[in-house]
Parts: sequence; C-alpha cells; structure tokens
Amino acid sequence: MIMKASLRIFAFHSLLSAWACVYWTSDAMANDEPPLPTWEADLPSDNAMPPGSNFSNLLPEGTEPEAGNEFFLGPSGALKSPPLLLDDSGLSPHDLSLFLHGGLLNMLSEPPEAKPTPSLALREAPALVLDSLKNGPRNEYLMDPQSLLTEIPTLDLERLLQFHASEARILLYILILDRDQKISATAKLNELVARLKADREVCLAVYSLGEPWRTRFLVTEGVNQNSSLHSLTEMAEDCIKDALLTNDAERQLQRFAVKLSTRLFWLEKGLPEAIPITKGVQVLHEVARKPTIENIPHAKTEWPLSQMATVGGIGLLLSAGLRSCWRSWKRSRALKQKQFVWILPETEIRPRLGGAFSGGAGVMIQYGDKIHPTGK
Amino acid sequence: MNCPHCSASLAPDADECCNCRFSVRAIRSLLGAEWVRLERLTDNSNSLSLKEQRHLEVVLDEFERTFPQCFFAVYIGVLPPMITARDLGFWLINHGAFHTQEIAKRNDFGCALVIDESRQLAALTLGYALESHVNEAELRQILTQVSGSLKNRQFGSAVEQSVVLLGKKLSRLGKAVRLDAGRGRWTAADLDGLGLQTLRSAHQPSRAVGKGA
Repeated sequence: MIMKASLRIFAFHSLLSAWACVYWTSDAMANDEPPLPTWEADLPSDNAMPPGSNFSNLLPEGTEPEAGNEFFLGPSGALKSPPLLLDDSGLSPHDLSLFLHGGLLNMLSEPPEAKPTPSLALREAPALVLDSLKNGPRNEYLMDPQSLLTEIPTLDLERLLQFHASEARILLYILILDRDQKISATAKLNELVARLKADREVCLAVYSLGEPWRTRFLVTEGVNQNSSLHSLTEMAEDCIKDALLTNDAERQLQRFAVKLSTRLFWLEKGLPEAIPITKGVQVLHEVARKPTIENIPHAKTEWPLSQMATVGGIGLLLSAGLRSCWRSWKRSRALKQKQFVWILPETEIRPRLGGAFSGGAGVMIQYGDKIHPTGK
Repeated sequence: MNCPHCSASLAPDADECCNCRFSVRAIRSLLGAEWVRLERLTDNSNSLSLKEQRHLEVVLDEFERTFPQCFFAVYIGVLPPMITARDLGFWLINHGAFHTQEIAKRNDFGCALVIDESRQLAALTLGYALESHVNEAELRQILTQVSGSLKNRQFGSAVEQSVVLLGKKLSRLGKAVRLDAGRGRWTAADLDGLGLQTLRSAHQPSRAVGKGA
C-alpha cells in the first residue's frame, strides 16, 4: 500500500518537472524568435521599364501617350500586363516579328505591287454593268454592280459617300469596274449622269479596282465651266497619287474616295453661289481620260525599264552578232590574205646622186613645233 | 624628184644637187662609205618600250611576208645638226645591210623611216624599185596621218601605222600570187632527209582498211 502511494507521488513529481521543463523551454524559444525579413536592396526606379512592357503597349510603335490625357485608362505609360517569360531579355517587337509573320505587331500586310494591265488586254465592261444602273436609286453613290468589293469596304465607302452627299454641293458617284475592264463609250455614261443629276452638280469617277491610274473623272457642265482644266487635272492626279500610296486594291479605293471627296469640297468653294441648271441630257466633261505616264508611279519605273531591258537585250544581241560576223569576216579575210603575197613589178630607174639603191626619193615632215629650215 | 638635203629639184640623172652639191659622196664623208649591219628597227634614243619593239618586229615580219621583195627599216634617234633625217634615210638605203628575214633582199625595195627626236622631224625614203609605185604626195600623206602619234611621242603606234599605210598602197599595185600549199610545211619525208625518222611511221597501217576488214 505504502509502495503504491510512493509510486504515485514519484509519477506526479515527474509530470510536474516535465511540465516545468516544457514551459521554461518554450518561453526561452519565444524570446529568441528572429525578426521578419526586410528588403535591403534598392527598389527599382520608376524610370525602369517594367517587364513585358515591350509587348503591352497598345499604342502604335514610337508614340507615347500624353501625361495628362484622361482618355487612357490608368496611369500614363505602358499598360500593365502579366509578365511574360521575356523579362530582361531585351527583345523588341521587331525581334518577335521574326517568328510571328507580319501583321501582328504594328505591321500591316502589304500585297505585292500589281503589274499594270497592258492596254491590249483591257476588255469592254459587260453591258449588264450599265444596264443594271439604269433603274438604280439616285442616292446610291457607290455603284458596284459586279460586287467586286467586299462587305466592310463597301459599307465604309457608302457611309463616306452618303456623308459627302449630305454636305457637299457636288455629288460624288464612284462606279467600280474590274481591273481589266473599261468603258469606252461616253454616251452611256452621259445617260447615267443625266439620270443622277437633279439639282446639283455631279462628279462621276469610273474607277478600275486595283488600277487607279485608269480612273476616268467626269464632271457636269456647271463644274467644268467654273473650274480651270488645270485645277481639275491636278485634282485627279492628286487622288490617283494618294491611292497609289498603298498596294491593296480596296485600301486604294478608300484613299481615293476620301481624297476625291476632300478635293470636291475644295472645288465647290470656287463655284458661284447659284449655278444655272441646264435642261436636257447633261453632257459630261472628262477631266483626264487617258492616264499619263506620270500618273502611274510603278509603271513609270517598271514599264520603261522592262522596255529598255528588252531593247538593250536586242541591241546587245545585235551588236554581239555583228561583232561576231565582223570578226569572222576579218579572220577569213586575214586567212585568205595570208595565202597570197604581193609581187611588185620592177622598173628601170636611172641612179641619181651616186646612190646604188636609192636616189633620195622621199619626203620629210616636221611633226612638232620646232621649226627647221629644211623640214619640208 | 628633189634633193634629200635641201629639197631642191633634181634632174632624173643628176649626180649631185645643183643647189647644195649633195650626193652620196658628200654623205659618205660624214657617215662613212662602209656597209653597216643594222636591225630593221633601230631605237637609238630608247623611245620604244620592249613590248612595242616586240610588236613592231611582228608588224615588220608581216610586211615582209606580204611583200616578199620589200622591207621596212626604222631609225629613231637624235641626229647631229649637219645631217637631216632624209640624209640619213638616203645613206641607210644605200649602205645598210639590214637583218631581214631574207638577207638576199635588195635594198632598192627598201623603205626607211627616220625619226629625229630632237628636231621633231620624220622622213620616209624609198629605194629605186619603190619610188615608181609610191609618189611623194602619197608618202607625205602617210606621214601626215601618223604625225599625231609622233607629236604625242607614240612612236610605236606611228611606225605601225606607217607600215600598214604603205602596205595598203603597195597591195593595190602589186600582183597577188598564191603561196604553194606545201611551202613551209615539214613532212615526214623532209625529216628523212635530215637523217631523222618519225616513231609513228612504224604504227601506220600497212594496208588500207576496207569495209570488210
């Protein structure tokens, strides 16, 4: 009984001492806990370019947003985007474009420059093109009976021409033809404009898609009488030059339409307030029927070059042939002459001046500036 | 015909110039009466480059081949004041033993071009056999045509032009004779005559090869 009691007392003391050890140990550990880590390195400056900024700028390359411009969301500068695995790589959009084919990074895909259709390859536009316009509404300023344009450019152009018609005194109509089509007869276009013109002047551009330099500009008599031919020609050239700044046929048309619309606004400033309306069939006056070579920039550089190359090639061949003939003729002549010798007839001459072989027959000249008394 | 020394007119059979008394004896007293051995091309003033000399040798060879009777000699140098270019030409034709392709050529078919660099004089002198074919006016025309090259000290070109122009004139007067086809070609028989025999002769077919062979 006594033994059991002593054992319990011993166990109690052991538990008590163990608790005391744990308590003191934990207290000591709590006092030695290390401090939280702190950043000792310098923070990156605000001027440093954040990672991925090369690819997160939605503005066109080379432009910086204005500091106080509230239009941009967030702070000025590059928009934040999730960091790419390109941190500190120093890559630029140009580098990325090396494996992303053009068009994704501020680079529009530009189709190759088209060759001008030779004049002999041009064909007359189908009769249904003009027939389909006979009954069309007058407020349809973009005439594309063959549906050569795709939907989006068509809608854009229609909006542009509608706006132009609502604001300008000279209505602008654009008739779209295919690249290799033409309309030779002006009479058919006269009928078309006679129907289109009501109380305002009209400018009709017969536009060959992809070949702006073949555009025919036709204006009504009121415009023609009140504008100089030089100004109209300059307007046409300006529109064509602007269209040729790009190679894409639809973008060319878009640029052309915008430029022509603008130029017509300028043109109407020179018109008198009230233009007398002529009755009957309107006669169109063409601004530039035939394109000059200056209107075709790439034709100016390519067509004469190819022509020159052809002519040069033929010339080279001819000269090489002639040279070969001349050489062979000379060779044969020399060979033939080598088969012959020339024997001179002997004549009897009485010796002079005591000379056995020569009597001094001959001449002397002075080839320089020095004068010699017997030098003749 | 005129005197080579003073250009005075000469009678066809004059022994000496009635104006200056020039004759072969007078020039012999200055240059000697002996025959002198000369190359066809004598450049005493070193006016021609080696390339020009080689080329002119070919030109002169061709002239002699085309006109087997004739030769063309050239002397370029500085002459003493007492003799003229024509004097020297006269003496060269009469006393020069020119080293031509055929030594047997007679000097009266010779033509001498003498260029005096110091006095800028050029003279063409002909032998008796040629003077009846080419007159003085034609000779003067030849020299006038090459005077540009002479003035520019392009003596090689001037000599070549002179030879070619003279050859053109002579070819109009000469009679064309066709060379023998075998002339100048050596055959195996010729080599036999020299005690040489070609090795290939042993391999020649002993009989004609017919269709059935």
